[in-house]
Amino acid sequence: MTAPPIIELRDAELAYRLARHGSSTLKELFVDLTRRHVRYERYEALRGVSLEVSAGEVLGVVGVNGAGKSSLMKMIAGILPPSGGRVIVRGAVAAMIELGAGFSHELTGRENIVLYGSLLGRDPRAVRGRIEAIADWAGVTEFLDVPVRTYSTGMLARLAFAICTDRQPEVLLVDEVMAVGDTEFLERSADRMRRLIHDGTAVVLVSHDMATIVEQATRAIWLEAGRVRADGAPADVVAAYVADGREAAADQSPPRAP
Amino acid sequence: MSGTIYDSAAPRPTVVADLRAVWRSRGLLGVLVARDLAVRYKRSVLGVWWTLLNPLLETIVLWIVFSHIFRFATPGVPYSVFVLSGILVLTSFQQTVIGAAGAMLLQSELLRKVRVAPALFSLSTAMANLITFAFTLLPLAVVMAIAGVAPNPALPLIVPVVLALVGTAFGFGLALAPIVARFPDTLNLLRIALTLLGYLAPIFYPIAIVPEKYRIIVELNPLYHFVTLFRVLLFGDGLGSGWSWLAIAVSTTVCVAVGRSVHTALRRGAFAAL
Repeated sequence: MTAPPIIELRDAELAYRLARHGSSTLKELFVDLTRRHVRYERYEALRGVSLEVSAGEVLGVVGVNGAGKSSLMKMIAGILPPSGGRVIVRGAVAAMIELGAGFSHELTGRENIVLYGSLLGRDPRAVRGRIEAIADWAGVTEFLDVPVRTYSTGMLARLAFAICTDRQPEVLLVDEVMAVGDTEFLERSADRMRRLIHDGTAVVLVSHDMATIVEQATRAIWLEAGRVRADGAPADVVAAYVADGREAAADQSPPRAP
Repeated sequence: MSGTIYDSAAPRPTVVADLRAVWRSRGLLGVLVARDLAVRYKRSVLGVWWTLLNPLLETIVLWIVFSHIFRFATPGVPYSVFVLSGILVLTSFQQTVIGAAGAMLLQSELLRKVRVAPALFSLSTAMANLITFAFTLLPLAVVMAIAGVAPNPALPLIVPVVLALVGTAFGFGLALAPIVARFPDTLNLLRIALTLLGYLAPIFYPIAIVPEKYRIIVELNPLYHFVTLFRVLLFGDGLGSGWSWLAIAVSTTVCVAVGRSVHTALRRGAFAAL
């Protein structure tokens, strides 16, 4: 018997009902309602997405902005429940979706490590025992007792990554986070990710850097307008995506003078 | 494997499953309560002393206004003790409702990044308020000692009353949390409604000044029963009326049960807005 995939999406759909005039306050809503103004529009961020990611696999996701990459990540992370289809994730998810996630700016680094670690589902006592190791990896040992609002972006990124990956998660979601770090951090985090993948973590990697996808992913999908347009070997998917991008650019550019 | 499985098609959790989930999250809840208290007091010089000072200052103002200018007769107890005990109950109720209702909005940035039940934030706020309430009993004890008011031997029974008070407020806020996340200005309306609720309960005035025909309005207000029981157990005689005990038990059960259902039903819609 083979183990079930860690991430399983079956015909998953993510649709929002957006109020046409987008009343964002109660007052506006009442005004709109009395004027019979509210019309709802269905906006489909993802449609009919089916995919499976097994332990140790790295799924690269490519697509233009607005194709649904972030929605896909949030759906896998369990933050946005699908409006149709089914999403099953077997295990703990460490999501590096937007950085600085889960930090309370008034609290110190030490307090934030415990807070963020607990939010990721760990026992606070276990996290407390790991504070020094996490801070050491992130290079913030000296600043442990200072509020994190004084931290630099790089420090926050390193700390978030260190907390997320301190315990082996079953799923690691990485969304362009590596863009903020310096070379040294990039190398160390790539190194740590390799070890996690080797130990069986399933990774979903969103990047606009095609070289990263080809190098690190074991499989790739191309999202277009909320649908999976291609699914296969990273090199093939990236080649098709890049070729399509060039064509579109050629179509849009004004004809050159002969 | 940590054994946590997320399945979007899983059926809605039962009450027992929800309670188990809360129990499993007790570690996280502890951290959230500690953070709540820490953030609340970190930026002010007086820190936690504000909690003690605020109701005291308010009491002094009301004591001047009502026992020297308007002169309410509060039989058997000095006005200062009467009003401070009322204010503590009202403030705790208001702060818990506002805190629990605003929790999802306040944590929206976090909820967009980490999969965690938003109800936990409402719950941790309520628990933090419970701890704060325990602290505010200190100035109350001081005022009672100065006024020479002897406590009721049944004093320990205020514990279930306060638990029920915060429970009712939590249930109320839990139902509103997804609505506030979607429409933040609901909080302003809520503040006004809570102020009104406070004036409709005998917090600042004794029930005796309310004309007989309007008394039913006061008695239908759950705050009336909380504050009356609290006062009886604090400085009165006996254990309070059975009706009041029944009223607070019913209001807590109904508020928490309805709050949970409404919260679960509206949560998804609120997430799309976050």
